Amino acid sequence: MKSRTPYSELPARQFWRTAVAEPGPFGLQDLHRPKFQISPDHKIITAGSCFAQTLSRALKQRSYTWLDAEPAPPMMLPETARRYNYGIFSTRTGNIYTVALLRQWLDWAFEPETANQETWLGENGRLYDPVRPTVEPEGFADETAFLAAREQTFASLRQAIRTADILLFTLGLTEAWLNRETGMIYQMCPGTQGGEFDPARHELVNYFSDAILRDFEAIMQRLKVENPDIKVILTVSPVSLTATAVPDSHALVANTYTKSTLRSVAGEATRRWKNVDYFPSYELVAAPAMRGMFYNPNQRTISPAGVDFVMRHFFQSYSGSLTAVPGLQAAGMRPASQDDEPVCNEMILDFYNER
Amino acid sequence: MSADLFLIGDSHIIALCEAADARGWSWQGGPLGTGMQLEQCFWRQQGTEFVYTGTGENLIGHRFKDLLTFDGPIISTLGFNSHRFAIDFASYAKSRQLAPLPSVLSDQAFADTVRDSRRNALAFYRLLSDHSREVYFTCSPQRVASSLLPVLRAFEDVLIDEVAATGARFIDFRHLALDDHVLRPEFCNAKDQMHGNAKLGGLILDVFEEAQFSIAKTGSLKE
Repeated sequence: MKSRTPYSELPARQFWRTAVAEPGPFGLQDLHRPKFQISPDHKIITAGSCFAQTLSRALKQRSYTWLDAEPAPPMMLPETARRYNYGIFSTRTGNIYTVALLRQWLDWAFEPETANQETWLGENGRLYDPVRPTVEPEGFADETAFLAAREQTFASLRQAIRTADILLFTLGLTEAWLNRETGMIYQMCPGTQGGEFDPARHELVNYFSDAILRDFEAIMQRLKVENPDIKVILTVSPVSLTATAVPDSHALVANTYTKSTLRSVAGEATRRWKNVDYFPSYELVAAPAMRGMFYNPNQRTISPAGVDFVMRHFFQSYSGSLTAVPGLQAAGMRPASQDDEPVCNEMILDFYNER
Repeated sequence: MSADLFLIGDSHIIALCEAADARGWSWQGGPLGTGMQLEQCFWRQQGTEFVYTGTGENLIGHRFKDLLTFDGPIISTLGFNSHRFAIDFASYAKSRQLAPLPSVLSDQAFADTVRDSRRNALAFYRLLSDHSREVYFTCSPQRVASSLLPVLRAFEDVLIDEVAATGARFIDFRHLALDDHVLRPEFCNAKDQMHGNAKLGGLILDVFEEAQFSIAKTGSLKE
């Protein structure tokens, strides 16, 4: 008689052959069991890396309550608003690639007196905000304008955190640049969009999982104080890194470190906090079983079909809906438009790569 | 017989029409619609004909059809329904619990917002420029609540520069009609709280005449 093991009674979804190999990418089912459901009435805020922009857009398209806490003036055209980073994330933080940067944003928003006021001087003589240098494409006229814009975003972020039912945060990178004198974390390397790189002052950090978890714990403590009922959905961006600054590192190897570390942190965070859930957007695009089909030819960014694929699973999981995004054409047939192109600061790095 | 002057714009042009009538000037055109209506696309070009496509096109369209070939000065108030921008902007600022000041946005974002909001008017001025018309324009009578004045003035600063960049000449009456940025009572239309009266229209025509004379003296006005 065959002895029984813990595997004997497991459902098909827990075996690779029946869950992955046989159904194939488009037959995947029951991939994710959410800790909670999302209804169109839930107020959702988004933050994170480039990929989070696609989540914002998908939520809006499906008439979910995506909270725009720092909206553009109604007289501004959508394309202009987008250039100024309105309506991309819930506040005008720009991309937040690391957990450390999110923690810094929240610390500053709730304790503005701690905010570092360093600015970067652009070649045009105007000032850029080191934690979001691209939100004002022409920079700020002076320090007063810079500080006023900062205060607005802090206020919007406070409101967003205190009002939201769900924070959707996409983990993007483990590498970040900081000011070794002040500890300020930059959004991107100084010198890429204003400022000047100074090896004596600017330091690369490649966070390991313990450090990321410590920052995440600080974020969770903050959320507990400001909005104890908020729920958090973590995703890992399947968008590969544009470049690594880690000495002697290959981009492919660095990308594996980055994504596996972030995935590990997300798993641990989900285990540790009952109001934190992980949605497997990374797996839906980057897993070998997907055969790389959802990547653009650069093997880095995600095709519209890939985004649609992820979002269908997202909504199926959190709301039981498999309906297609209204107005969306068949997968792979979506015309390219500016709206579909994430405002990705990493493109600036690519610019220098091509010089 | 062709008119001496083409007057075109929103309701603010009426004061100029009345003033021109009072002077016995022959003019053509008139108000096309409300400023709000004219924020939408309100025209198309058919050959050399200007086709008004806005509200009441069947009734008033004929008054404007030879605008692009009009051989004389054109005065416009298009785009300068500034009170609406100021009110909308203040409402936006209030919704964000901010003071109604242009500094709610960066200078660049504010300027882009102005350009966006008046893109149809700016396209109109470019159309006239493309047809080498002699174009003058003037701003609003500045009649808004004092709390809205900073936005209104910042809005007009941007828009005046944008319209002037098309080659149109600005008729600036403000130094003659305002006290501390507010329209003096004798220039206000008594029937509402927004428009100027025929006296203001006359003042604007005076400034226009001076500008024409000045240009004629320097020889840069087309013959």
